[in-house]
This record gives sequence, C-alpha cells and structure tokens, in this order.
Amino acid sequence: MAGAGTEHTRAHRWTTLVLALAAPFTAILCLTLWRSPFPLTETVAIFENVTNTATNIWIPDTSYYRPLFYLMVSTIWHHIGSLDTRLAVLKLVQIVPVIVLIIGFIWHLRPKTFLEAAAASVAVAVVIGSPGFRDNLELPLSYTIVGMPLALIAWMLMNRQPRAWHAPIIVALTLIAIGFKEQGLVLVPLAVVCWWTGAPGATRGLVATLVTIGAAYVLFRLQWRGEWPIFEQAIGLGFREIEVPEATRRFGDFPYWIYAYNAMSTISNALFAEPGRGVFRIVQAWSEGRAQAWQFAHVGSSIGLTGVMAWWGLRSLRDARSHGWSLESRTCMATAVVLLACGALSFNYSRERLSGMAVVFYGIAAFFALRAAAAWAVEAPRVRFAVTGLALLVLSAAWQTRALATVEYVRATALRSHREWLVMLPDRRLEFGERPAYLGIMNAMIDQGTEPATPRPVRYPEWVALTIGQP
Amino acid sequence: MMAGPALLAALGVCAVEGRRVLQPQAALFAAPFVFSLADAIERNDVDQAYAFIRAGQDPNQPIGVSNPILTGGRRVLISPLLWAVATGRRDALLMLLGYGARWDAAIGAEALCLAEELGDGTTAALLEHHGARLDERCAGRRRTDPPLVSFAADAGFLLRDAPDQAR
Repeated sequence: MAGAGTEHTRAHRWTTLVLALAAPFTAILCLTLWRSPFPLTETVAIFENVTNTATNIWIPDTSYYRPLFYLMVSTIWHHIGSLDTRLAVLKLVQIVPVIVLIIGFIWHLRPKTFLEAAAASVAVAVVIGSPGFRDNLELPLSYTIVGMPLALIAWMLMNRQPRAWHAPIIVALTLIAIGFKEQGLVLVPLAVVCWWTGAPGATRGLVATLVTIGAAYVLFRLQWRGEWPIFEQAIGLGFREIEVPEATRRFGDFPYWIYAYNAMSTISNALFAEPGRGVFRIVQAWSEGRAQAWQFAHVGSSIGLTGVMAWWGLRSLRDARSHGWSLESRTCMATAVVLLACGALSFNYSRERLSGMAVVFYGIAAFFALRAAAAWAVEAPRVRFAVTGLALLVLSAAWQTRALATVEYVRATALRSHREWLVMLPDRRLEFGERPAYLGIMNAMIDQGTEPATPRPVRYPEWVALTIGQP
Repeated sequence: MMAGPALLAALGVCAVEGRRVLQPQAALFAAPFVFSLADAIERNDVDQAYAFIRAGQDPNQPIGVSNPILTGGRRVLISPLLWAVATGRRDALLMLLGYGARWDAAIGAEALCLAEELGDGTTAALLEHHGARLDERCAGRRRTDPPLVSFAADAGFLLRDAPDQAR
C-alpha cells in the first residue's frame, strides 16, 4: 500500500511539473484568444446566417455541414441579451477546448519519472506547435478545436475498463464532434482500431453503434452529392496554388488523382511540415536559396520526430506480435489510422487545420516515442548516449520554438482581425449594401474590432523572428 | 536534456510577458511612436492613425504635412484623405473613409484627380470603386510641381512658404 501511495505521489509530482511548464504557453494562448477581436470576414456572415430564419442548418445542401456549430451559435445569439456577452461566450467555446485538451493530454500521459516528464513536456510542445492545432485557433471557427479534446476523452475512455456510462458518453462525444465538423468522423475508425487492438472500453456494441452512425452520416451527406462543386476551394499542387476554375478545367473530368494528392498533402504536412496547403513552399524556398531558419526548424523537427516515431512504432508493433497489444502499440495504430482518416476527409483541398484531430494522437505517440528513445539512450554506451541526447535536445528545442510560434501566430491573427476592422468597412458597406442584417451586425461589432488593446506580436529582434517564424 | 528547452521556453515566455506588464511601451511591444496623424498616414501605420481619430481628432480637419517631393519641402495644410492619396497609403485611406472622412462627389473628384496626377493607378482604381469620378475642374487644372501645393491652394488652405527643416 505504501509503495503504491509513493508511486502515486511521484506521478502527481511529475504531472504537476509538466502542467507548470505548459501553463505559460496555455495561459498566454487563452488570454490572447480572450482579448482578440472577432474578424470581420466570416464572423459577420456566420452571425447573419443564424439570424436568417429561412436557413435550415440540418440540411447538408452545401459542402460545408456543421449543424451543431450553427445550432450553438444560434442558441448563443438568440438567448443571450447583449452582444458583448454573446461574443464572450463564443470566445469561451474556443478557449475551453484548448484548456481541456492540454490538461487532459498531460493527465492522460501522467508521467511517473523525470524521463517521462521530459518526454511529456516535449509532447505538449508538439501539440501546441503543430500546424493542425495552430490553424484551428481562429475565432469563431471552433469546428475542430471542439472535436480535438472530445477525441482525446473518447480515446481515454476506450482505454479504460468499461463502465455503463462510458459507451453512451463516447457515442455522444462522437455525435458532437461530427456535428461540429465532418472531421469528427475520425472517431469511428479510432473506435474500430481500439476494438481490434483489444482496448478494454471499446466494446463490440459501442463500435457497431459508431460504425452505424458513421455510415448513416456519410449516406445522408451523399444524398446531396450532386450539388457539391468538384473543387470547393483553391488547391495546391507542387509549387503553386490553383484556383477553383483552373482546377475544375484541368482535373474536373477525373479528379481522383488530385483528391489523392490533397489527402497525401494533409498527411505529409502533419508528419513532415510540408507541403502546406498542398504547396511545397519550404522546399521551393530552399531550392531558391531563400529558406529561413524557422523553415529548417519546422521541417527538421517534423522529420526528426516522425523518424523517432517510426522507429518506436516498428518496435512496439513487433512487441505486439509477441506479447499482445499494449497502450503503446495501440497508440501507434490509432495515430496511423486517424492520420489516414484526416487525409481522406481532406480529399477536396488540403489545409493544415484539417489534420487537427490527428494532432492529439501524434502528440501521444510523440510522448511514447521520445520516452523510448531517451530510455534507449540512457542505457547506451557513452558516445551513443551523447549523440542521442544531443539529437533529442535539438529536437526538443525546435519544438519549443514551434510552440512559441503558435503563440505569435495567434497574436498576429488578432492584429490582422483588428486591421480588417480598420480598413475593410468602406468595401463591406458597398458590397453588402443590400443586406441590412449584415450591416447591422457589422456596425454593432465595430467597437470590439477596433479595441486598441488588441494583442500584438512581440517585436523580437530579427534573428529571433526568423528562428521562430514569426508571421 | 529534453527538459532543458521546455524549462527555458517556459521561463523565457514568462520573462517576456512580465516585461510587457511592467513596460508595455518598450520597443519589444509597442510600435515606434508617431507624433501626428500625418506621420501615421505617411508611415501607413493604420493603427496609430486610427488612434488619433479615436482620441477625437477630426478626420476632415486639415493637417500640416511636408514632403520633399510632394510639397517641395514646404509645410502645407491638406485634408488627411488627400494626404493618404498623395502618399499612396491605401489602408490609411480606407480607414479614413470608414471612420468619418467626408466623402462626396467634389472630394472624390479631387482625390481621384490627385491620384491621376501622381500616376497612382491603383489608388485611382480604389477611389473609382468607391464612386469617385473626374470632373471638369481636374481637366482644367494647371499641373504644378510639387503637386500637392496646388491642391492645397485650390482648397483654400493656408500655405507657408518656409521649408520645414524639422521634418
């Protein structure tokens, strides 16, 4: 009993240390989001949509189907009196998932030794520094950031001994995640992997229910397939972006190869930081001799970490073959399957944000992989220990700069939104002159958009800005 | 070794934010100070230009400006809108249009005339997009060098001949 208690206390101590290290980044991210203005583009149109009673949010007659997001915004809009309170609640919808995700992530890893705490602190930086996380922090587009902690909670529950309330909760989490954005569908293959690899909480009934929900959702959406355009947004290909008309002209007859390219781009971006939006911008910059330090840090840290994860993944799968499935080998499978699912769901166009759901599992896998690498190094001869230790140090430092870049990115986004309010009003008044609801909402939101205390990026010296990739 | 960068990053972030709280106007956080609306427009610093409007400065009140090319170094009084057109600062121009600058046919024609005279097609297109049209006064205008001087004179604004060496 005393031994178990001591171990418990030790786990608490290391978990608290990792929480303390993650706290500055998390707190600054959340405070920045709290003080950020809502952007003029997108936001006002979303609010106008929910005031339009003719819009049926449940009918997926466009490629974008986010009924629960619109239901949430509509509920907030129609049931909260003042505009300021509505906007504050909508910001909380963005902020609370970030807090739940970071705390839940650390709680799930629960490091018990110094080595595990070190690996966990890097894994937290991996989550915060990942483009899939960063790109989902834009107000008020909370579609995927809401889904990310839900995926983590579902994963945690499926890896526990089942209780009567687990399955209904997991089903509810899946429905909410899908209702916010189709990326929530990744919870279905995740549950299948958990069941297949013997996760205690992934019962056959639960998995059958989720597969039925997933299939029904896809069939429901496909009823309106005829109304979707072949390409919804600009696509990247090689070194350039192609606008919708050109893409339709070039690939419209047989778009499946370019769909596969988009899917692979999203997966590759999550694993190697290239290409972004389907465009190999960093490779292009490097080939033209104008690559910056942050670009090397992004690609290098992603390739390095994915390499360590591949080494660990093969090891854990080999162990699974001889000793049965473990949490580690299951994590490896879950990461691969969720990544594939994110890729498949981004077939129409590739964006960093579309790998958001995979970030959670990439982060967990990073923890296990780094822990394994560090443990291997500790037992290695002196030279190998030094080389591996140095490599892990560089990898950790690179991911910390990426986490810092996320903080600066959110600040830069806030400033960009602020500037939109300063310079876009005349154009919007011309363009939306026939839409009084739009103009009314826009005019009511000017004060929040022009608030002088808007967050601004730190004006770092140039070498720091170039190293972290300050936007 | 992995924990070192995490610890350093956390401490670094705390140090930077601590300094922001203690010295919010330090160069690390605040843009270089501008002394007037004219300066802010010339630097295309929309934030600080808006700060003057927000603080109560009338966006239609003439401002004193000086530029070696545009005014030949003379100090000229001119509307902020024309100054934004003259310096080609389209963001500042849009900010002024959005936050109280008077905009009618005469002002639009004058602004468009200035943009045309300076050969700034992009700004001219922007002004036309917002309804500006050239009128007969522009066609009959005698082109002067420096260009802003005649616009200031036509508008009846005070014109000082002494070059402003302070700028």
